[in-house]
Amino acid sequence: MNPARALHLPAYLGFFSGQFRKMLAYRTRYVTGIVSYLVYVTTYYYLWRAVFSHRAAGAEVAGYTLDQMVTYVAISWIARSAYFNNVDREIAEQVQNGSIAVALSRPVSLQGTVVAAALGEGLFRFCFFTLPIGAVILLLFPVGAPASPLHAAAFLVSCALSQVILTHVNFLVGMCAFPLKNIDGVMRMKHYLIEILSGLLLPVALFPGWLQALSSWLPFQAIAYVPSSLWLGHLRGPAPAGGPLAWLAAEPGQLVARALLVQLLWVAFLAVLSNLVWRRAARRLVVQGG
Amino acid sequence: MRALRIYIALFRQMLKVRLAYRGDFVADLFATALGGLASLFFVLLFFRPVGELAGWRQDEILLIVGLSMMSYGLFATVSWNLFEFGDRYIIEGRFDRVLLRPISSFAQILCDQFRIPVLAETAIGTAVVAHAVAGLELDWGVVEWSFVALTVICGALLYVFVFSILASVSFHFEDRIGVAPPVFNLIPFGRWPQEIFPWPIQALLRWVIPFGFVAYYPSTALLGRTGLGGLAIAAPLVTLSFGGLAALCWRLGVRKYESTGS
Repeated sequence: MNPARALHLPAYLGFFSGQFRKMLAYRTRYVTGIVSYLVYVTTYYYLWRAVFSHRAAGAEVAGYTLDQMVTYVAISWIARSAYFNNVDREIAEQVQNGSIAVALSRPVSLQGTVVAAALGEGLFRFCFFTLPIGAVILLLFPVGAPASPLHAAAFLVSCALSQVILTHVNFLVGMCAFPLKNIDGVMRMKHYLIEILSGLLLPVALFPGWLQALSSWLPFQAIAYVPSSLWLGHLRGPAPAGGPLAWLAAEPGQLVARALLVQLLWVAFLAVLSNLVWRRAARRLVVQGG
Repeated sequence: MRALRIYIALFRQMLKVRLAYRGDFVADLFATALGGLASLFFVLLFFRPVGELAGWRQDEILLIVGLSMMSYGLFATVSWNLFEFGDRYIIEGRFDRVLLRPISSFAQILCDQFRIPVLAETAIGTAVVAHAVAGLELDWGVVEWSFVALTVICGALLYVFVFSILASVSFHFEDRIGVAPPVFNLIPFGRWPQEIFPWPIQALLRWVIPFGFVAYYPSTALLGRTGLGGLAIAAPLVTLSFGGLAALCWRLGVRKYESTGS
């Protein structure tokens, strides 16, 4: 890839704002999404209430008090409302109907346009989905404040990184459409993997040891577990400690830096991998009658 | 008899269409199995540090989850067309063709896009129920297992009826927002002991969108948990009443139907 092509910023800004406006046209779709997120948070809230109901006040389950667990659940779902996207489905549709050929003829990289468009979608989701969902959840449930201003700032950066990580995971899943054509099954498998291994449903610290060890070598925990743990200031968890960056951990500031560094490394790794996979796929692409 | 022959012919045609795409079939099977295992895995992960939930042990919760998965798998064989009914049949005008055939329009909608791979969820649910029954050392005879079969069938039908009522809304107005997704998302509520929820949620899942009857209330009867009275065995009655309501809504909808003319 020629660097001048990859850094053609105004073109990417076009994809960013284009996607934002496209989403704006379909904003009523998100009304029911708010109900869905509320159902999830409500279910887990009462589950954890029931778990803690016959324990002493201030008791902990795997290092989390009830207040922390409720905060974890609520923040995880609020964050998801912003970073979530369907890049894989969109790429698969383009491969199926042949319009991916247009992407090849553009003087900018597909990966760059996908990331730019996903960020545009992220901005839309933040304004029209995350803000109302966040407001409703914060009103209804006792969600704790971030551990400190440093943690709050790190949380916001972390959510942006989550979005880029998920976009690349979805990009790679979307690339499966080149050999497979229909990737509905692959997308659903990815959905379940992410729901569990990202720590969205349960903090990674509650997993058995072997699964925590496995998670620390996979990108999924960097999508949900890392940002929510940053909000809570709950970074002692054994999962990162057993992972590749265990040596960098003592002060809170260092823990925050390490969490963000883990995400940055995943961004870099997935970006390079996506680029390699896309270039291989593009070389073999056959568009019928395109 | 003639109608039955038409059903069978139609059903076979449609199976051929589904089986033509082997790859999709296998992927759907894998994804469904993984989804079922993920629900199961979540319960196991959740209980490992937690121990018990409001007096329910892991295997008791697994009984509810297993029953709910068995019903859901059966429902999922026909669910696509119910979710997409408004788009596929009303807006795109496919319903004209359905009305031309001399058999029930509702049965046709259920059979078209029939999915076999999702029965993997029913299979996993059956294994989960068997595991839970073994773990709880329940000595079940014919009566209990018949009750399980009845519960699963009623649960599946209840899902079908609830979502067909929502689908028949599309006859009356174009549904731009989608009423089915929020109701669909209520399903996980029904997989947990209802007493952990506050009364409005319990009432919602009991009287309005009665997903509590799919697995939770019947489970209390199977586990000998008393205190809920007739609710524990009311699932068939609830299913019947929703069946009547669904039939009425469908009939009113079909009468109202005006083709898009395409």
